[in-house]
Amino acid sequence: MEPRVSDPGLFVGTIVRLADCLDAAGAPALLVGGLAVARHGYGRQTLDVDVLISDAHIAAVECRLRAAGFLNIERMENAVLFSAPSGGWRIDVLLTDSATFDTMRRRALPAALGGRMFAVPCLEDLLAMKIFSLRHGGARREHKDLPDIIQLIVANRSDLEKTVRPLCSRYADDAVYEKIRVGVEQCRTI
Amino acid sequence: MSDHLNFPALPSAAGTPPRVDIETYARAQDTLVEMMTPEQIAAQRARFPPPPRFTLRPPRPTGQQLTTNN
Repeated sequence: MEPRVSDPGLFVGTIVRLADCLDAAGAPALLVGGLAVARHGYGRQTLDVDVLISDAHIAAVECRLRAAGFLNIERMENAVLFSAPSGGWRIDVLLTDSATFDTMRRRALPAALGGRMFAVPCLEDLLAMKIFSLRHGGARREHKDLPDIIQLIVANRSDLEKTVRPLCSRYADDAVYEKIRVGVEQCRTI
Repeated sequence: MSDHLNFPALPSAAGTPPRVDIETYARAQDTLVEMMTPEQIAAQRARFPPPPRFTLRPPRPTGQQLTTNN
């Protein structure tokens, strides 16, 4: 399918406008959420544009997004949410400490979108985020994070013992590993 | 890897990880959302709040290798 360069659509348009604001704020960012999961081989619906930035840049990013007309700003401990001025797509700016962000950025992979270059976490870091969320994000997150983790592992043929168990030991626990292992083995037998 | 939404997989050499064409994936999101009512979108967002704040430093000792630099 040929990309419609002249008509990027509302979703891609929102991402490009976000990228302009991030550039103006001098804030490097990583695309996470559905876009990052897709970059690593599992396509599913998403309702938000999720980016990860360092705490150090949130004030400048919020200032730029506000100036660009982004509305309904909702501040949370772990994220700041913005609605696009044209309606529809919400931007979730997730926050982390600068040491974590810098390390993840060094290991990130490129992703081209809307004529711009972005970065997404490497597979292991994306799995770490999802495994951490599965353990610490409450019951509701399980229905989003567990399928993502299972599909990413299956799609990338990740080794459960060598890759997934150490991540679970570090960011979750044995119960989380067992849920993932069972799901992966069920998927691999289909 | 196409999965249930049938996003086209990019060609890749044998043994390399699969990828979804995220340009096509991203453009398809508008169409998918158009099939939902505002109420359905709001309900789905409410079901899935943003993930907890992530750090590469583990939140508690686990007996595994721990980072010591703060």
